[in-house]
Amino acid sequence: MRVVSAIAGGLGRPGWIHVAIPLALLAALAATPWIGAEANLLRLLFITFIWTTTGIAWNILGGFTGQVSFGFAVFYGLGAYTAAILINTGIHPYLAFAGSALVAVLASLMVGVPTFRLRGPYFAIATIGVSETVRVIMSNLSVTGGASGYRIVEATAFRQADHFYTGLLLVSLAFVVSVLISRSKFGLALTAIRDDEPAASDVGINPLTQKLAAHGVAAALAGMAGGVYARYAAFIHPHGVFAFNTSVYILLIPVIGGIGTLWGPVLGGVIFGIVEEQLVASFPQAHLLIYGALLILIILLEPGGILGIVRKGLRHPRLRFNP
Amino acid sequence: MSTPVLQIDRVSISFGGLAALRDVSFEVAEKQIYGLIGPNGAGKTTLFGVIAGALQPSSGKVLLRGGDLTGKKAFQRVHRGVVRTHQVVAPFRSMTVLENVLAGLCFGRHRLSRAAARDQAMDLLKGVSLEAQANERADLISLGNQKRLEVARAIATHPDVLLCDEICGGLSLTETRSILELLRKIRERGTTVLYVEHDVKAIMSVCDRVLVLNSGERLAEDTPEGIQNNPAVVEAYLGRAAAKRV
Amino acid sequence: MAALDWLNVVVAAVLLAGIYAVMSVGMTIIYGVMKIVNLAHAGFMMLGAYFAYELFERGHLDPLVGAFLAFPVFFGIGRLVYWLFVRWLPVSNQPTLGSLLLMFGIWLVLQNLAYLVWGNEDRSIFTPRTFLTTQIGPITISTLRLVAFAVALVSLVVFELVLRRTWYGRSVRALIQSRYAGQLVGVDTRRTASLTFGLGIGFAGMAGALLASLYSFNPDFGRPFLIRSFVIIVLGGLESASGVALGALVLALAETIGILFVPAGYQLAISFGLLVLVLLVLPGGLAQLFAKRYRSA
Repeated sequence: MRVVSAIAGGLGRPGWIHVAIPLALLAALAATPWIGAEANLLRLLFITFIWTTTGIAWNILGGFTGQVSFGFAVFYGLGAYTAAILINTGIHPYLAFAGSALVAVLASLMVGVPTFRLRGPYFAIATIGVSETVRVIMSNLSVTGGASGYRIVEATAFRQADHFYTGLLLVSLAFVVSVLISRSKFGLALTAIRDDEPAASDVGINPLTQKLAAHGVAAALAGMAGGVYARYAAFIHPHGVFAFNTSVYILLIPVIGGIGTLWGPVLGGVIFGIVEEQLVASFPQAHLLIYGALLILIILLEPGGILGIVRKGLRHPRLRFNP
Repeated sequence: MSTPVLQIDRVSISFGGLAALRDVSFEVAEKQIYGLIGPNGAGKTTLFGVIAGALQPSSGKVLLRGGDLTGKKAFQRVHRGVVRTHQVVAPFRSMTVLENVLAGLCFGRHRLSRAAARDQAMDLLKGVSLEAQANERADLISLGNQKRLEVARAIATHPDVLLCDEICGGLSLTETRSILELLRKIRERGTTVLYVEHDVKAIMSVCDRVLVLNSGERLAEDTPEGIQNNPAVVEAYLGRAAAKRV
Repeated sequence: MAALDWLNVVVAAVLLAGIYAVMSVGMTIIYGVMKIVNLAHAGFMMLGAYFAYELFERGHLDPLVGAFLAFPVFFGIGRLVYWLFVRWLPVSNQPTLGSLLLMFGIWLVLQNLAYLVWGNEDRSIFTPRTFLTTQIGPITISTLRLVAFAVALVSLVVFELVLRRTWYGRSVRALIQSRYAGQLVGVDTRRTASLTFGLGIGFAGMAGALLASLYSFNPDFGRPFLIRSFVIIVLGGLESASGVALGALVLALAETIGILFVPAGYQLAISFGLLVLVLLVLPGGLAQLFAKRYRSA
């Protein structure tokens, strides 16, 4: 029971088990290249790290704060292009990723400032258009290759282990950030805003600044994910990184796993990473259809996603995920 | 007498062509429980909305210790020292009772960190007899307890003035009496309370002074006894025949 | 540009506005009554387009007749969707996370079903009427657009009458203003919601069918219109069909004039830019320009 509750995010004060399990997982993952796992597995894990990071990021804004974004790919894409451009100038990749984060944060402000001030679904609607608009602009921007894409040429040779560990570092960072937020005063404010924004204002929380901050953190993480991916793929194009589909996947990951929880996006990312490849191979046309149906089922039957089902299955009425 | 803590200065507000409040003025002194009553449609809720910041008056001002509150958003008012409770309780549903109070402590006037605030939060919960429910989800406790939670959360922001909006709605007699006792305790601790209420008996039993509104205008302002014996007030509530009997 | 050219632009904008208005009325009433942002609106418009297309290809049915038929058919579909999925959503006076995600899921399903059935090539409907033009005084108008505008206008007038004269219309207006008060005075919220959803989808289907005769389309067709619908809601407010009409007119004008200065690929950016502008400057919509001083702090 305690083991499961620990994996589910734990309640109350963190015990040793809450730290032990994630660390064990980290150690196991870190060891995979060493124990001679095949290249395909490493690639799959890497992609999972990227998706999980974006899922964790989205969850901070959509799950913790209740602000749904349908265009999160815009930060992923901006991060990808920023890192790509910076790496091509010879900068160390990690500095390039920092640049990705910065650009993503600035973009998040441009979207957030007009929309977060207002009550109503303006933010959600605006996000539908943002990613598309940027995609169109980037497709027409010849300096970055336009619709044909942009190539990254790194000075050092490609080493898969390098990318693997960068991805692992990134997802670990994202997870730690997520945990820290949920345990902090900031996390309290975000939950208050999600539950009842006017009441949150009535206890002294400034909804605008908190939402902008959550958006910024989420965007930064997604931007870095885009950067890390770009460096790996060595070639990016607007229709891939700014794709509407990408935004859909990013959103689905935490929703499937358990929106608003700590481990939900991780679970969702793992499932997605494994399933997506198979699904696209078996049902090239229908896989989005399946995702849509899945979304409908989740919302109607168990909005808490897989973790919600687990929670109900264990019949523990107070198992909550934001300690 | 020292500066009144809250001054309402000729507040008027119109909705379209209808004047909901007309030149309403009054002052609330420190450490008072000040009641606001009036028959239906008198404008109590509207006046409360203006003082709480949800509505902007067409003219007039609300002053806190001489400082103008006009245009200040809700969270800014909290930082100046004015906090409100809600007529329809608004706890943070997915949080525990304790976390609700923590929110007030962390973002109210003293802005404590989450860890530092924990002990104070438990004290506040003890003050409203909710310490046993500290780890319950806020939406799973009874209505009476949710109202106490709302008061505790509001007090957690360390206000100078607590605005109470019809806090007795939906409560039993015992629950009402204990909430009123809570208000007295709050006054003893030094907070001023502005209390809008439908339940005239509740007001009379707990308030130091009472303002009666009628049709958007100030009708009378006095001690509870004075109000009860005021023929104009009785007439407003019950009609002229009843007033004659006062 | 000569005055005559400007006149042509304005007329073109007005005609477009008619269709935009029909398109957004559906989304408006669903949002106003149920506080649900119907993200699947785009999907139903797209289905409406294919509906008209199939009737034309197989039944040789005039697409404008198809548009008229689309309304009752999609009204039924809307009520079905409400009954199957939407009625389970928790009620709120703010759009909820669940409602946004559910409608998004429905949109995904619709869009990808369309991809499966029809593939992703562009389709168009060509009738003898497609290239006809009418002369009104010095102005040349595409006949098709004129007729489509007439259809749109008729449906909007009928809708406004429904809003003002029927029990349903009164319920809708009541619920838009205050769901709580509406319930207190006995409005049957369930039935009103079901009818509203049906009407909303009916309008979406009809709008899609109308647009099918004007533009080529594919399953992804609806998305730019979704944004446009929302811009119109923000501009026009929720109270009446005339608000929607006004919002539609402003958007159509912005687009028709914008096209003169900006490359075609950026059209979405125009409507999106307008949305951002309006949100920054006029969050209360056009009504804010005319409103008296009653503002929440």
